[in-house]
Amino acid sequence: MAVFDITIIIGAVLLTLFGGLFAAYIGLLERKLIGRIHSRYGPTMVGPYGLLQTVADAIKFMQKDFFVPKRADKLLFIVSPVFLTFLSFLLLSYLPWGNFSFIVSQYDLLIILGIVALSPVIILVAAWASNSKYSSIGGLRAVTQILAYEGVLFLSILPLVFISGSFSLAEIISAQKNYWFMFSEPFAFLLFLFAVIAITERQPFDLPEAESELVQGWLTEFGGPFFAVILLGQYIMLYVASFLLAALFLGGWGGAFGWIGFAVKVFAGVLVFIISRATYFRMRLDQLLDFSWKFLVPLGFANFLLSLLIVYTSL
Amino acid sequence: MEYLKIVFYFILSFFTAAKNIFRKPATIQYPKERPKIPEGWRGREVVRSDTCISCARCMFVCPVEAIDMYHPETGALANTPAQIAELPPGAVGHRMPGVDLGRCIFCGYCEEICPTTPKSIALKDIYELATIEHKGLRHPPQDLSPDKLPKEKAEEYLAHDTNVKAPKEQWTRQKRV
Repeated sequence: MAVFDITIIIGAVLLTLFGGLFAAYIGLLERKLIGRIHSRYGPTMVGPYGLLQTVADAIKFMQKDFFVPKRADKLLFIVSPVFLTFLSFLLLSYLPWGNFSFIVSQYDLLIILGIVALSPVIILVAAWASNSKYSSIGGLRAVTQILAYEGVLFLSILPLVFISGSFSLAEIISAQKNYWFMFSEPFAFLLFLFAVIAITERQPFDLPEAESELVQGWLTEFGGPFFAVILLGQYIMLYVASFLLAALFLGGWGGAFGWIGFAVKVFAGVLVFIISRATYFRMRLDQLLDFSWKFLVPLGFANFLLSLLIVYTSL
Repeated sequence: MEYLKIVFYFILSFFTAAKNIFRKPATIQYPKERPKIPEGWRGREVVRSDTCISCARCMFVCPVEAIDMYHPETGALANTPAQIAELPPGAVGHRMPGVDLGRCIFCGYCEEICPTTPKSIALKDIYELATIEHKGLRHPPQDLSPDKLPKEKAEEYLAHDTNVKAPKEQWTRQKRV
């Protein structure tokens, strides 16, 4: 049972602050970098070098009305975005913070995967509750996409779990003492990158919110505060994705640089996601599903079997 | 082979995009920065009262009838003989062209046909022409005189006699702050 002492409460406040700041400043960095890639400036006007732009955006979002569409399911409409963000924060609480972790578990990787697997249900609820054609198409797309790529995510993590013999993040990191899993398991790394981008619904796989077709996909009816909350959740998911990328494949905090090196790795992961957002174009839904079921899933199985063979012959 | 090519370009494009982060932005932040206007640019007309001889050739040559002759003292139109007859005697020699920018197509015929040296009506690099009302686009000659412009600009215009020459191709990305 969790004991609510003062450190937990302070930690929770700091965690929330970190979530907000990460969302604000990685969002700003994303806009700046993508602007530069497009030969633009990005935001420059609000504050020095546009540093307060996302703060201004947040204030603007919060000033707006709590608008619920006429035929929407009121309760579900209000609850679903909050619950989505809650899931993201729950993910954050399972990740270790230095030597401190909110919820210590032997199976934290498994629990994280379980929580990620919950998100399509809530997205479907959100899309159903908003009762609009764009939302429903976007929601169905989100669910098909996430279901297709969750398998890929699990298949990419399976070999790591078999090699390190544990579901805990710390042990997977300590198993990478000699070499990073990025080099010993390159295909798993590739699968993980694709799967994570698809699950966080970021740019090359952003079919659920394809602006040119579906307004904002399943986010269409969510305005103002709801949208801000969902955006916060999505940026926290981005953080979790980069955290897992750095922890599972880039050696985590194991190397000589410790936690600073780990922070740099997480930042590099974020940069990879941002640049791939600026570079690649959106796929069609059938191409997306073909790519998952016909290419990535068989590749994942083959990679898994191969790494099993290598592990058991070396034992 | 075809798939290998796709994979190659898939990876290459990532690094191309990453390289572009260090490129200078091409944006011209308009109210702060202004683009360099090339020579021979045909913008708004400038009318000089000291050289104009009231010949009204600009009014006759204007293909869209954007130019009207005005009597500067009273502000009355003085296009037709009937309108001139209502003016005080000797007003014919004091008429000056005014331009309706709602009609003007910036062809530069008026400047070309102007017989005086320096040209009394000339198209200069003035491009901020927006007004609040439609009426505001009809400019009497006083509005177009160089006195209404900032001093440096006016001196520059008065120093250059005309700009109807073969324009130099120098439309570039250069910025002038």
